[in-house]
Amino acid sequence: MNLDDETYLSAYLDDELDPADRLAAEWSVESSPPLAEQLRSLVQARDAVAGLDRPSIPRDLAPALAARIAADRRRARLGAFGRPARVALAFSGLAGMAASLIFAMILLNRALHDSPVVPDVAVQIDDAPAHRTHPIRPSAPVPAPTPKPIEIVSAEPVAPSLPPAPEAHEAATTPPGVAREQEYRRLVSRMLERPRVRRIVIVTDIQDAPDRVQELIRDDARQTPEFGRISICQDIVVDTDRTEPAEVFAVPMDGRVRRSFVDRLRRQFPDLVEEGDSSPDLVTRLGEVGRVAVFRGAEAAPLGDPPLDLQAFMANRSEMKPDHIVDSDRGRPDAMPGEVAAPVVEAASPEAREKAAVVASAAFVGPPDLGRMAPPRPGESVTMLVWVTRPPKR
Amino acid sequence: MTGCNDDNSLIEACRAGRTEAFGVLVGRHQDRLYPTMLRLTGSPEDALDLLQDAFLRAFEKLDKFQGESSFYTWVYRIAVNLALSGRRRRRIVGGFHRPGRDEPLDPADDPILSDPTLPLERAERDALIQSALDALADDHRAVVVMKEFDGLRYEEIAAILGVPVGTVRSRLHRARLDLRERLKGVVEEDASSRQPARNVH
Repeated sequence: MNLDDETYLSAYLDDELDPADRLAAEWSVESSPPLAEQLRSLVQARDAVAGLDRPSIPRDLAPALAARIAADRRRARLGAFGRPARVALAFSGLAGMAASLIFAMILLNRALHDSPVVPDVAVQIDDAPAHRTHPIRPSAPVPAPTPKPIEIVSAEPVAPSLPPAPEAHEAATTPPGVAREQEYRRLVSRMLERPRVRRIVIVTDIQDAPDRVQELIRDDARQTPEFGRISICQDIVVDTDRTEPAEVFAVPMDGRVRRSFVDRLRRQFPDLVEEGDSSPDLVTRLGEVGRVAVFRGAEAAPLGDPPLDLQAFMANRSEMKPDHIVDSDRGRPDAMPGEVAAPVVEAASPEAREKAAVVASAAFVGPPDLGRMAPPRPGESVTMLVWVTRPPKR
Repeated sequence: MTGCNDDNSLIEACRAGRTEAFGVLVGRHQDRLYPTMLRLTGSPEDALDLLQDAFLRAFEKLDKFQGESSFYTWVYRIAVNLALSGRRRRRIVGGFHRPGRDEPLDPADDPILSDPTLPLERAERDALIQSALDALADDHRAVVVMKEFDGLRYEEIAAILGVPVGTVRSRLHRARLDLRERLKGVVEEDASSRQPARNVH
Protein backbone atom coordinates (compact mmCIF):
# COMPACT_ATOMS: atom_id res chain seq x y z
CA MET A 1 0.00 0.00 0.00
CA ASN A 2 1.19 3.44 -0.81
CA LEU A 3 0.55 5.63 2.22
CA ASP A 4 0.95 8.75 0.10
CA ASP A 5 -2.13 7.68 -1.78
CA GLU A 6 -5.03 9.14 0.16
CA THR A 7 -7.54 6.81 -1.44
CA TYR A 8 -6.48 4.06 0.93
CA LEU A 9 -8.39 5.98 3.61
CA SER A 10 -11.65 5.29 1.81
CA ALA A 11 -10.64 1.68 1.24
CA TYR A 12 -9.86 1.41 4.96
CA LEU A 13 -13.23 2.93 5.79
CA ASP A 14 -14.97 0.40 3.55
CA ASP A 15 -13.00 -2.60 4.84
CA GLU A 16 -11.56 -3.13 1.38
CA LEU A 17 -7.92 -3.52 2.44
CA ASP A 18 -6.11 -6.78 3.01
CA PRO A 19 -5.09 -7.44 6.64
CA ALA A 20 -1.54 -6.14 6.32
CA ASP A 21 -2.63 -2.90 4.68
CA ARG A 22 -5.40 -2.46 7.20
CA LEU A 23 -2.91 -2.67 10.06
CA ALA A 24 -0.69 -0.10 8.35
CA ALA A 25 -3.66 2.18 7.80
CA GLU A 26 -4.76 1.88 11.42
CA TRP A 27 -1.28 2.77 12.58
CA SER A 28 -1.05 5.85 10.35
CA VAL A 29 -4.50 7.12 11.36
CA GLU A 30 -3.75 6.71 15.05
CA SER A 31 -0.43 8.48 14.73
CA SER A 32 -1.70 11.39 12.66
CA PRO A 33 -4.47 13.66 14.04
CA PRO A 34 -5.07 15.39 10.64
CA LEU A 35 -5.49 12.00 9.02
CA ALA A 36 -7.86 10.93 11.81
CA GLU A 37 -9.86 14.11 11.26
CA GLN A 38 -10.01 13.48 7.54
CA LEU A 39 -11.26 9.96 8.18
CA ARG A 40 -13.97 11.29 10.48
CA SER A 41 -15.19 13.71 7.84
CA LEU A 42 -15.27 10.94 5.25
CA VAL A 43 -17.39 8.88 7.60
CA GLN A 44 -19.80 11.78 7.94
CA ALA A 45 -20.12 12.14 4.17
CA ARG A 46 -20.63 8.39 3.87
CA ASP A 47 -23.31 8.33 6.56
CA ALA A 48 -25.14 11.29 5.06
CA VAL A 49 -25.70 9.41 1.80
CA ALA A 50 -26.34 6.08 3.49
CA GLY A 51 -29.05 7.69 5.62
CA LEU A 52 -31.06 9.01 2.67
CA ASP A 53 -34.69 8.03 2.61
CA ARG A 54 -35.70 4.96 0.57
CA PRO A 55 -39.16 5.76 -0.70
CA SER A 56 -41.44 3.10 -2.14
CA ILE A 57 -42.04 3.17 -5.83
CA PRO A 58 -44.99 5.52 -6.44
CA ARG A 59 -46.66 3.34 -9.06
CA ASP A 60 -46.50 -0.20 -10.30
CA LEU A 61 -44.50 -0.39 -13.51
CA ALA A 62 -45.89 -3.73 -14.64
CA PRO A 63 -49.05 -2.45 -16.44
CA ALA A 64 -47.15 0.22 -18.40
CA LEU A 65 -44.47 -2.29 -19.28
CA ALA A 66 -47.03 -4.84 -20.41
CA ALA A 67 -48.56 -2.20 -22.69
CA ARG A 68 -45.19 -1.30 -24.16
CA ILE A 69 -44.26 -4.93 -24.71
CA ALA A 70 -47.61 -5.57 -26.39
CA ALA A 71 -47.13 -2.50 -28.62
CA ASP A 72 -43.62 -3.63 -29.56
CA ARG A 73 -44.89 -7.09 -30.43
CA ARG A 74 -47.71 -5.66 -32.50
CA ARG A 75 -45.21 -3.56 -34.33
CA ALA A 76 -42.87 -6.50 -34.79
CA ARG A 77 -45.74 -8.52 -36.27
CA LEU A 78 -46.47 -5.69 -38.70
CA GLY A 79 -42.76 -5.48 -39.49
CA ALA A 80 -42.65 -9.22 -40.19
CA PHE A 81 -45.27 -8.62 -42.84
CA GLY A 82 -42.54 -6.67 -44.56
CA ARG A 83 -42.37 -4.44 -47.56
CA PRO A 84 -41.75 -7.16 -50.19
CA ALA A 85 -44.77 -9.12 -48.96
CA ARG A 86 -46.93 -6.01 -48.87
CA VAL A 87 -45.81 -5.00 -52.33
CA ALA A 88 -46.46 -8.48 -53.70
CA LEU A 89 -49.94 -8.41 -52.22
CA ALA A 90 -50.61 -4.97 -53.61
CA PHE A 91 -49.45 -6.06 -57.02
CA SER A 92 -51.59 -9.16 -57.10
CA GLY A 93 -54.65 -7.18 -56.03
CA LEU A 94 -53.99 -4.36 -58.45
CA ALA A 95 -53.24 -6.70 -61.32
CA GLY A 96 -56.57 -8.39 -60.68
CA MET A 97 -58.35 -5.05 -60.69
CA ALA A 98 -56.65 -4.04 -63.92
CA ALA A 99 -57.57 -7.31 -65.62
CA SER A 100 -61.19 -6.89 -64.48
CA LEU A 101 -61.21 -3.37 -65.88
CA ILE A 102 -60.02 -4.51 -69.30
CA PHE A 103 -62.54 -7.31 -69.36
CA ALA A 104 -65.36 -4.93 -68.40
CA MET A 105 -64.35 -2.45 -71.08
CA ILE A 106 -64.25 -5.14 -73.74
CA LEU A 107 -67.72 -6.30 -72.79
CA LEU A 108 -69.02 -2.73 -72.75
CA ASN A 109 -67.52 -1.96 -76.12
CA ARG A 110 -68.94 -5.16 -77.58
CA ALA A 111 -72.36 -4.35 -76.22
CA LEU A 112 -72.29 -0.81 -77.66
CA HIS A 113 -70.93 -1.58 -81.09
CA ASP A 114 -71.84 -5.21 -81.47
CA SER A 115 -68.60 -5.82 -83.30
CA PRO A 116 -65.25 -7.42 -82.51
CA VAL A 117 -63.12 -4.93 -80.66
CA VAL A 118 -59.41 -4.49 -80.19
CA PRO A 119 -59.05 -2.31 -77.13
CA ASP A 120 -57.13 0.90 -77.70
CA VAL A 121 -55.75 0.84 -74.20
CA ALA A 122 -52.40 -0.36 -73.14
CA VAL A 123 -52.37 -1.55 -69.59
CA GLN A 124 -49.35 -3.10 -68.07
CA ILE A 125 -50.58 -5.44 -65.43
CA ASP A 126 -47.33 -7.10 -64.54
CA ASP A 127 -45.43 -4.34 -62.88
CA ALA A 128 -47.55 -1.24 -62.68
CA PRO A 129 -50.20 -0.30 -60.18
CA ALA A 130 -53.62 -0.14 -61.75
CA HIS A 131 -54.67 3.01 -59.97
CA ARG A 132 -52.11 4.99 -61.89
CA THR A 133 -52.64 3.28 -65.20
CA HIS A 134 -54.56 5.34 -67.68
CA PRO A 135 -55.63 4.76 -71.24
CA ILE A 136 -53.09 5.90 -73.78
CA ARG A 137 -54.16 6.36 -77.34
CA PRO A 138 -51.36 5.94 -79.88
CA SER A 139 -52.17 9.26 -81.45
CA ALA A 140 -52.44 11.19 -78.20
CA PRO A 141 -49.97 14.08 -77.95
CA VAL A 142 -47.30 13.80 -75.32
CA PRO A 143 -47.20 16.79 -72.98
CA ALA A 144 -44.21 19.07 -73.36
CA PRO A 145 -41.35 18.06 -71.11
CA THR A 146 -40.82 20.45 -68.24
CA PRO A 147 -38.46 19.59 -65.45
CA LYS A 148 -40.10 20.03 -62.11
CA PRO A 149 -38.97 23.28 -60.51
CA ILE A 150 -38.25 23.54 -56.83
CA GLU A 151 -41.38 24.94 -55.40
CA ILE A 152 -42.42 25.65 -51.89
CA VAL A 153 -45.82 24.28 -51.29
CA SER A 154 -47.99 25.56 -48.51
CA ALA A 155 -47.18 23.79 -45.30
CA GLU A 156 -50.66 22.44 -44.92
CA PRO A 157 -50.80 18.74 -44.25
CA VAL A 158 -50.90 16.91 -47.55
CA ALA A 159 -52.91 13.89 -48.46
CA PRO A 160 -50.52 11.00 -48.60
CA SER A 161 -49.63 10.11 -52.15
CA LEU A 162 -48.63 6.57 -51.39
CA PRO A 163 -50.17 3.75 -53.36
CA PRO A 164 -52.77 1.90 -51.36
CA ALA A 165 -51.39 -0.49 -48.80
CA PRO A 166 -53.02 -3.85 -48.18
CA GLU A 167 -54.77 -2.35 -45.17
CA ALA A 168 -56.40 0.31 -47.33
CA HIS A 169 -59.80 -1.35 -47.16
CA GLU A 170 -59.95 -0.33 -43.50
CA ALA A 171 -60.30 3.27 -44.62
CA ALA A 172 -63.67 2.52 -46.14
CA THR A 173 -65.10 1.65 -42.75
CA THR A 174 -63.44 4.39 -40.70
CA PRO A 175 -64.35 8.08 -40.51
CA PRO A 176 -62.37 10.26 -42.97
CA GLY A 177 -60.42 12.07 -40.25
CA VAL A 178 -59.39 8.83 -38.61
CA ALA A 179 -58.51 7.25 -41.95
CA ARG A 180 -56.34 10.22 -42.85
CA GLU A 181 -54.65 10.13 -39.49
CA GLN A 182 -54.00 6.41 -39.98
CA GLU A 183 -52.60 7.11 -43.40
CA TYR A 184 -50.29 9.81 -42.01
CA ARG A 185 -49.15 7.43 -39.33
CA ARG A 186 -48.48 4.73 -41.90
CA LEU A 187 -46.53 7.19 -44.00
CA VAL A 188 -44.43 8.36 -41.07
CA SER A 189 -43.83 4.75 -40.09
CA ARG A 190 -42.48 4.10 -43.58
CA MET A 191 -40.13 7.04 -43.24
CA LEU A 192 -38.93 5.55 -39.98
CA GLU A 193 -38.45 2.14 -41.58
CA ARG A 194 -35.49 3.39 -43.59
CA PRO A 195 -32.29 1.50 -42.93
CA ARG A 196 -30.67 4.37 -41.08
CA VAL A 197 -32.39 6.82 -38.83
CA ARG A 198 -30.25 9.58 -37.41
CA ARG A 199 -31.31 11.98 -34.75
CA ILE A 200 -30.76 15.67 -34.28
CA VAL A 201 -31.73 17.09 -30.92
CA ILE A 202 -32.31 20.80 -30.57
CA VAL A 203 -32.74 21.91 -27.00
CA THR A 204 -34.10 25.42 -26.88
CA ASP A 205 -36.43 27.72 -25.03
CA ILE A 206 -37.24 29.66 -28.18
CA GLN A 207 -41.02 29.66 -28.50
CA ASP A 208 -41.30 29.28 -32.26
CA ALA A 209 -38.36 26.92 -32.67
CA PRO A 210 -40.46 24.01 -34.00
CA ASP A 211 -42.04 26.28 -36.62
CA ARG A 212 -38.64 27.61 -37.65
CA VAL A 213 -37.40 24.07 -38.02
CA GLN A 214 -40.47 23.18 -40.05
CA GLU A 215 -39.82 26.12 -42.36
CA LEU A 216 -36.26 25.03 -42.82
CA ILE A 217 -37.31 21.48 -43.64
CA ARG A 218 -40.06 22.68 -45.97
CA ASP A 219 -37.70 24.92 -47.92
CA ASP A 220 -34.95 22.32 -48.16
CA ALA A 221 -35.06 20.83 -51.66
CA ARG A 222 -35.19 17.06 -51.51
CA GLN A 223 -36.04 14.24 -53.84
CA THR A 224 -38.43 12.98 -51.21
CA PRO A 225 -40.17 16.22 -50.35
CA GLU A 226 -42.73 14.89 -47.88
CA PHE A 227 -41.90 14.99 -44.22
CA GLY A 228 -43.69 14.01 -41.05
CA ARG A 229 -44.31 15.98 -37.91
CA ILE A 230 -45.01 14.20 -34.65
CA SER A 231 -46.15 16.20 -31.62
CA ILE A 232 -45.34 14.34 -28.48
CA CYS A 233 -47.66 15.26 -25.65
CA GLN A 234 -46.56 15.96 -22.15
CA ASP A 235 -47.70 12.66 -20.69
CA ILE A 236 -46.08 10.47 -23.32
CA VAL A 237 -42.50 9.43 -22.86
CA VAL A 238 -40.90 8.02 -25.98
CA ASP A 239 -37.35 8.89 -25.21
CA THR A 240 -36.00 8.62 -21.71
CA ASP A 241 -33.34 11.19 -22.61
CA ARG A 242 -36.06 13.69 -23.45
CA THR A 243 -39.09 13.42 -21.25
CA GLU A 244 -40.29 16.91 -22.03
CA PRO A 245 -42.92 17.62 -24.69
CA ALA A 246 -41.28 17.71 -28.09
CA GLU A 247 -41.91 18.20 -31.76
CA VAL A 248 -40.23 15.61 -33.89
CA PHE A 249 -39.81 15.85 -37.64
CA ALA A 250 -39.12 12.78 -39.74
CA VAL A 251 -37.37 13.81 -42.94
CA PRO A 252 -36.13 11.29 -45.52
CA MET A 253 -33.04 12.52 -47.35
CA ASP A 254 -29.76 11.38 -48.81
CA GLY A 255 -26.35 11.78 -47.23
CA ARG A 256 -25.28 14.96 -49.01
CA VAL A 257 -28.51 16.78 -48.38
CA ARG A 258 -28.31 15.69 -44.77
CA ARG A 259 -24.95 17.34 -44.24
CA SER A 260 -26.01 20.67 -45.68
CA PHE A 261 -29.28 20.50 -43.79
CA VAL A 262 -27.50 19.91 -40.48
CA ASP A 263 -25.23 22.87 -41.25
CA ARG A 264 -28.24 25.09 -41.77
CA LEU A 265 -29.78 23.87 -38.52
CA ARG A 266 -26.58 24.65 -36.66
CA ARG A 267 -26.55 28.14 -38.08
CA GLN A 268 -30.15 28.68 -36.98
CA PHE A 269 -29.62 27.21 -33.51
CA PRO A 270 -25.98 27.75 -32.57
CA ASP A 271 -24.72 25.48 -29.76
CA LEU A 272 -28.13 23.90 -29.34
CA VAL A 273 -27.83 21.06 -31.82
CA GLU A 274 -26.58 17.53 -31.26
CA GLU A 275 -26.55 14.79 -33.87
CA GLY A 276 -26.30 11.07 -33.34
CA ASP A 277 -27.71 7.70 -34.26
CA SER A 278 -31.16 6.84 -33.10
CA SER A 279 -31.99 3.71 -31.18
CA PRO A 280 -34.34 1.25 -32.87
CA ASP A 281 -36.52 1.38 -29.74
CA LEU A 282 -37.08 5.07 -30.14
CA VAL A 283 -37.88 4.75 -33.81
CA THR A 284 -40.37 1.99 -33.11
CA ARG A 285 -42.17 4.00 -30.47
CA LEU A 286 -42.24 7.22 -32.45
CA GLY A 287 -44.39 5.69 -35.15
CA GLU A 288 -47.13 5.08 -32.63
CA VAL A 289 -47.34 8.16 -30.47
CA GLY A 290 -48.50 11.72 -30.47
CA ARG A 291 -50.33 13.64 -33.15
CA VAL A 292 -48.99 13.00 -36.62
CA ALA A 293 -49.21 15.08 -39.76
CA VAL A 294 -47.46 14.87 -43.10
CA PHE A 295 -46.38 17.95 -45.05
CA ARG A 296 -44.97 18.47 -48.48
CA GLY A 297 -41.72 20.34 -48.81
CA ALA A 298 -39.77 21.60 -51.78
CA GLU A 299 -39.13 18.98 -54.41
CA ALA A 300 -35.84 18.77 -56.25
CA ALA A 301 -35.27 17.07 -59.54
CA PRO A 302 -32.44 14.58 -59.29
CA LEU A 303 -29.29 14.79 -61.34
CA GLY A 304 -27.37 11.75 -62.26
CA ASP A 305 -27.14 8.85 -64.61
CA PRO A 306 -30.46 7.61 -65.84
CA PRO A 307 -31.45 4.24 -64.49
CA LEU A 308 -30.16 1.24 -66.38
CA ASP A 309 -33.47 0.37 -67.96
CA LEU A 310 -33.75 3.90 -69.31
CA GLN A 311 -30.20 3.76 -70.64
CA ALA A 312 -31.05 0.52 -72.38
CA PHE A 313 -34.19 2.05 -73.77
CA MET A 314 -32.35 5.06 -75.13
CA ALA A 315 -29.54 2.98 -76.61
CA ASN A 316 -31.92 0.63 -78.36
CA ARG A 317 -34.75 2.96 -79.14
CA SER A 318 -34.23 2.62 -82.88
CA GLU A 319 -34.52 -1.13 -82.61
CA MET A 320 -37.54 -1.08 -80.34
CA LYS A 321 -40.88 -2.10 -81.56
CA PRO A 322 -43.12 0.83 -82.30
CA ASP A 323 -45.78 2.04 -79.92
CA HIS A 324 -43.78 2.45 -76.74
CA ILE A 325 -43.85 5.40 -74.45
CA VAL A 326 -42.18 6.34 -71.23
CA ASP A 327 -44.57 7.28 -68.52
CA SER A 328 -42.30 9.10 -66.11
CA ASP A 329 -45.24 9.68 -63.81
CA ARG A 330 -45.08 6.09 -62.71
CA GLY A 331 -42.83 4.81 -60.07
CA ARG A 332 -42.33 1.76 -58.00
CA PRO A 333 -45.44 1.17 -55.99
CA ASP A 334 -43.36 0.92 -52.87
CA ALA A 335 -41.46 4.15 -53.47
CA MET A 336 -41.76 6.93 -50.95
CA PRO A 337 -43.83 9.80 -52.28
CA GLY A 338 -41.65 12.15 -54.23
CA GLU A 339 -38.99 9.54 -54.87
CA VAL A 340 -38.18 9.50 -58.54
CA ALA A 341 -38.29 5.95 -59.73
CA ALA A 342 -37.51 4.16 -62.94
CA PRO A 343 -39.92 5.07 -65.71
CA VAL A 344 -42.09 2.37 -67.17
CA VAL A 345 -41.97 1.66 -70.89
CA GLU A 346 -45.35 1.35 -72.51
CA ALA A 347 -46.89 1.13 -75.90
CA ALA A 348 -47.02 4.29 -78.04
CA SER A 349 -46.25 5.53 -81.51
CA PRO A 350 -42.65 6.02 -82.76
CA GLU A 351 -43.22 9.76 -82.57
CA ALA A 352 -44.39 9.53 -79.00
CA ARG A 353 -41.37 7.39 -78.21
CA GLU A 354 -38.99 10.12 -79.40
CA LYS A 355 -40.74 12.72 -77.30
CA ALA A 356 -40.85 10.40 -74.37
CA ALA A 357 -37.08 10.01 -74.51
CA VAL A 358 -36.80 13.75 -74.12
CA VAL A 359 -39.23 13.68 -71.20
CA ALA A 360 -37.25 10.96 -69.54
CA SER A 361 -33.91 12.74 -70.07
CA ALA A 362 -35.29 15.98 -68.71
CA ALA A 363 -36.62 14.25 -65.67
CA PHE A 364 -33.13 13.07 -64.80
CA VAL A 365 -31.16 16.22 -65.57
CA GLY A 366 -32.87 19.13 -63.87
CA PRO A 367 -31.66 22.70 -63.69
CA PRO A 368 -27.91 23.29 -63.28
CA ASP A 369 -28.17 24.77 -59.80
CA LEU A 370 -29.31 21.40 -58.56
CA GLY A 371 -25.93 19.91 -59.30
CA ARG A 372 -25.54 18.87 -55.70
CA MET A 373 -28.53 16.59 -55.93
CA ALA A 374 -28.12 12.96 -56.88
CA PRO A 375 -30.38 9.96 -56.68
CA PRO A 376 -30.15 8.57 -53.17
CA ARG A 377 -27.87 5.60 -52.86
CA PRO A 378 -29.11 2.86 -50.57
CA GLY A 379 -26.27 3.31 -48.11
CA GLU A 380 -26.81 7.04 -47.86
CA SER A 381 -30.54 7.06 -47.55
CA VAL A 382 -31.46 8.21 -44.06
CA THR A 383 -34.34 9.61 -42.18
CA MET A 384 -33.51 12.53 -39.95
CA LEU A 385 -35.38 12.85 -36.72
CA VAL A 386 -35.25 16.50 -35.78
CA TRP A 387 -36.20 16.59 -32.16
CA VAL A 388 -37.05 20.08 -30.90
CA THR A 389 -37.47 20.16 -27.17
CA ARG A 390 -37.15 22.43 -24.20
CA PRO A 391 -34.64 22.07 -21.38
CA PRO A 392 -36.09 20.12 -18.47
CA LYS A 393 -37.50 22.22 -15.67
CA ARG A 394 -35.53 21.98 -12.47
CA MET B 1 -31.89 -18.32 -2.68
CA THR B 2 -35.50 -19.26 -3.01
CA GLY B 3 -36.05 -15.87 -4.60
CA CYS B 4 -33.40 -16.62 -7.21
CA ASN B 5 -34.91 -20.01 -7.93
CA ASP B 6 -38.31 -18.43 -8.28
CA ASP B 7 -36.84 -15.80 -10.57
CA ASN B 8 -35.34 -18.49 -12.74
CA SER B 9 -38.65 -20.27 -13.16
CA LEU B 10 -40.31 -16.95 -14.01
CA ILE B 11 -37.60 -16.24 -16.55
CA GLU B 12 -38.15 -19.64 -18.10
CA ALA B 13 -41.87 -18.91 -18.26
CA CYS B 14 -41.14 -15.59 -20.02
CA ARG B 15 -38.92 -17.34 -22.50
CA ALA B 16 -41.73 -19.78 -23.15
CA GLY B 17 -43.91 -16.84 -24.14
CA ARG B 18 -45.79 -16.18 -20.91
CA THR B 19 -45.20 -12.47 -20.65
CA GLU B 20 -47.33 -12.18 -17.52
CA ALA B 21 -44.46 -13.90 -15.69
CA PHE B 22 -42.34 -10.87 -16.46
CA GLY B 23 -44.91 -8.72 -14.67
CA VAL B 24 -44.31 -10.82 -11.57
CA LEU B 25 -40.55 -10.29 -11.90
CA VAL B 26 -41.07 -6.55 -12.24
CA GLY B 27 -43.36 -6.47 -9.21
CA ARG B 28 -40.80 -8.38 -7.22
CA HIS B 29 -37.80 -6.14 -7.91
CA GLN B 30 -39.09 -2.67 -8.74
CA ASP B 31 -39.41 -1.56 -5.11
CA ARG B 32 -35.84 -2.47 -4.34
CA LEU B 33 -34.46 -0.85 -7.48
CA TYR B 34 -36.44 2.37 -7.37
CA PRO B 35 -34.62 4.15 -4.49
CA THR B 36 -31.28 3.59 -6.20
CA MET B 37 -32.58 4.99 -9.47
CA LEU B 38 -34.06 7.93 -7.60
CA ARG B 39 -30.68 8.75 -6.08
CA LEU B 40 -28.93 8.33 -9.41
CA THR B 41 -31.31 10.54 -11.37
CA GLY B 42 -32.45 12.95 -8.65
CA SER B 43 -36.02 12.94 -9.92
CA PRO B 44 -38.89 10.51 -9.26
CA GLU B 45 -40.15 10.74 -12.84
CA ASP B 46 -36.71 10.16 -14.31
CA ALA B 47 -36.23 7.24 -11.94
CA LEU B 48 -39.51 5.64 -13.06
CA ASP B 49 -38.69 6.14 -16.73
CA LEU B 50 -35.23 4.77 -16.25
CA LEU B 51 -36.49 1.73 -14.40
CA GLN B 52 -39.14 1.07 -17.00
CA ASP B 53 -36.54 1.27 -19.74
CA ALA B 54 -34.23 -1.03 -17.83
CA PHE B 55 -36.97 -3.65 -17.39
CA LEU B 56 -37.92 -3.35 -21.03
CA ARG B 57 -34.31 -3.78 -22.08
CA ALA B 58 -34.08 -6.79 -19.78
CA PHE B 59 -37.20 -8.29 -21.34
CA GLU B 60 -35.81 -7.83 -24.83
CA LYS B 61 -32.49 -9.41 -23.87
CA LEU B 62 -33.92 -12.17 -21.72
CA ASP B 63 -32.62 -14.81 -24.10
CA LYS B 64 -29.10 -13.58 -23.42
CA PHE B 65 -29.45 -13.78 -19.65
CA GLN B 66 -27.17 -16.64 -18.68
CA GLY B 67 -28.07 -16.80 -15.01
CA GLU B 68 -24.49 -16.14 -13.93
CA SER B 69 -25.77 -13.40 -11.64
CA SER B 70 -29.20 -12.97 -10.11
CA PHE B 71 -31.92 -11.36 -12.18
CA TYR B 72 -31.92 -8.43 -9.76
CA THR B 73 -28.19 -7.83 -10.24
CA TRP B 74 -28.60 -8.08 -13.98
CA VAL B 75 -31.37 -5.48 -14.11
CA TYR B 76 -29.51 -3.31 -11.61
CA ARG B 77 -26.51 -3.31 -13.91
CA ILE B 78 -28.63 -2.46 -16.94
CA ALA B 79 -30.35 0.37 -15.09
CA VAL B 80 -27.14 1.92 -13.74
CA ASN B 81 -25.54 1.89 -17.16
CA LEU B 82 -28.66 3.32 -18.75
CA ALA B 83 -28.63 6.08 -16.15
CA LEU B 84 -25.02 6.89 -16.88
CA SER B 85 -25.39 6.88 -20.64
CA GLY B 86 -28.60 8.93 -20.48
CA ARG B 87 -27.14 11.62 -18.30
CA ARG B 88 -23.99 11.77 -20.35
CA ARG B 89 -26.01 12.45 -23.48
CA ARG B 90 -27.99 15.17 -21.76
CA ARG B 91 -24.83 16.88 -20.66
CA ILE B 92 -23.52 16.92 -24.23
CA VAL B 93 -26.70 18.55 -25.47
CA GLY B 94 -26.39 21.18 -22.78
CA GLY B 95 -30.02 21.15 -21.87
CA PHE B 96 -29.53 19.45 -18.56
CA HIS B 97 -28.74 21.72 -15.69
CA ARG B 98 -27.01 20.69 -12.54
CA PRO B 99 -25.75 23.12 -9.94
CA GLY B 100 -22.05 23.75 -10.26
CA ARG B 101 -19.59 23.74 -7.42
CA ASP B 102 -19.96 27.49 -6.90
CA GLU B 103 -23.70 27.55 -7.18
CA PRO B 104 -25.79 27.54 -4.04
CA LEU B 105 -27.91 24.47 -3.48
CA ASP B 106 -31.56 25.26 -3.29
CA PRO B 107 -33.60 22.54 -1.63
CA ALA B 108 -36.79 24.19 -2.81
CA ASP B 109 -35.90 23.17 -6.36
CA ASP B 110 -35.68 19.52 -5.50
CA PRO B 111 -38.67 17.41 -6.41
CA ILE B 112 -37.92 14.98 -3.64
CA LEU B 113 -38.83 17.69 -1.18
CA SER B 114 -42.37 17.42 -2.35
CA ASP B 115 -42.68 13.93 -0.84
CA PRO B 116 -45.46 14.53 1.71
CA THR B 117 -44.73 11.41 3.69
CA LEU B 118 -41.42 12.73 5.01
CA PRO B 119 -41.17 15.08 7.99
CA LEU B 120 -40.18 18.51 6.71
CA GLU B 121 -36.83 18.63 8.46
CA ARG B 122 -35.85 15.22 7.16
CA ALA B 123 -37.07 16.07 3.70
CA GLU B 124 -34.99 19.26 3.64
CA ARG B 125 -31.93 17.38 4.75
CA ASP B 126 -32.44 14.69 2.12
CA ALA B 127 -32.95 17.34 -0.52
CA LEU B 128 -29.66 18.98 0.38
CA ILE B 129 -27.83 15.68 0.22
CA GLN B 130 -29.50 14.81 -3.07
CA SER B 131 -28.50 18.18 -4.50
CA ALA B 132 -24.94 17.50 -3.46
CA LEU B 133 -25.14 14.10 -5.15
CA ASP B 134 -26.58 15.66 -8.31
CA ALA B 135 -23.68 18.06 -8.42
CA LEU B 136 -21.12 15.25 -8.54
CA ALA B 137 -19.71 14.01 -11.81
CA ASP B 138 -21.90 11.20 -13.17
CA ASP B 139 -19.27 8.52 -12.67
CA HIS B 140 -18.60 9.66 -9.13
CA ARG B 141 -22.26 9.80 -8.22
CA ALA B 142 -22.83 6.27 -9.51
CA VAL B 143 -19.99 4.93 -7.38
CA VAL B 144 -21.19 6.76 -4.29
CA VAL B 145 -24.77 5.55 -4.67
CA MET B 146 -23.72 1.98 -5.28
CA LYS B 147 -21.35 2.00 -2.34
CA GLU B 148 -23.02 4.15 0.32
CA PHE B 149 -26.64 3.65 -0.58
CA ASP B 150 -26.61 0.03 -1.72
CA GLY B 151 -23.56 -1.21 0.14
CA LEU B 152 -21.91 -2.95 -2.82
CA ARG B 153 -18.30 -4.08 -2.63
CA TYR B 154 -15.66 -2.43 -4.78
CA GLU B 155 -15.39 -5.53 -6.90
CA GLU B 156 -19.12 -5.59 -7.60
CA ILE B 157 -19.12 -1.91 -8.53
CA ALA B 158 -16.13 -2.45 -10.80
CA ALA B 159 -17.94 -5.30 -12.55
CA ILE B 160 -21.09 -3.26 -13.06
CA LEU B 161 -19.25 -0.26 -14.46
CA GLY B 162 -16.64 -2.26 -16.31
CA VAL B 163 -13.70 -0.43 -14.70
CA PRO B 164 -10.79 -1.63 -12.54
CA VAL B 165 -11.22 -1.83 -8.76
CA GLY B 166 -8.57 0.86 -8.33
CA THR B 167 -10.69 3.24 -10.40
CA VAL B 168 -13.66 2.58 -8.16
CA ARG B 169 -11.56 3.31 -5.10
CA SER B 170 -10.20 6.59 -6.41
CA ARG B 171 -13.56 7.76 -7.74
CA LEU B 172 -15.20 6.99 -4.45
CA HIS B 173 -12.57 8.81 -2.46
CA ARG B 174 -12.74 11.92 -4.63
CA ALA B 175 -16.50 11.86 -4.55
CA ARG B 176 -16.49 11.66 -0.75
CA LEU B 177 -14.12 14.61 -0.51
CA ASP B 178 -16.38 16.56 -2.84
CA LEU B 179 -19.48 15.60 -0.88
CA ARG B 180 -17.79 16.50 2.38
CA GLU B 181 -17.21 20.04 1.11
CA ARG B 182 -20.75 20.38 -0.19
CA LEU B 183 -22.36 18.96 2.91
CA LYS B 184 -20.37 20.81 5.52
CA GLY B 185 -23.46 22.46 6.98
CA VAL B 186 -25.44 19.25 7.09
CA VAL B 187 -22.77 17.10 8.69
CA GLU B 188 -21.86 19.72 11.29
CA GLU B 189 -25.49 19.90 12.28
CA ASP B 190 -25.59 16.14 12.48
CA ALA B 191 -22.41 15.99 14.52
CA SER B 192 -23.77 18.44 17.06
CA SER B 193 -27.05 16.58 17.42
CA ARG B 194 -25.98 12.93 17.36
CA GLN B 195 -23.15 10.48 17.10
CA PRO B 196 -22.21 9.13 13.65
CA ALA B 197 -24.58 6.38 12.61
CA ARG B 198 -21.81 3.93 11.84
CA ASN B 199 -18.43 3.42 13.37
CA VAL B 200 -15.25 3.65 11.46
CA HIS B 201 -14.19 0.21 10.54
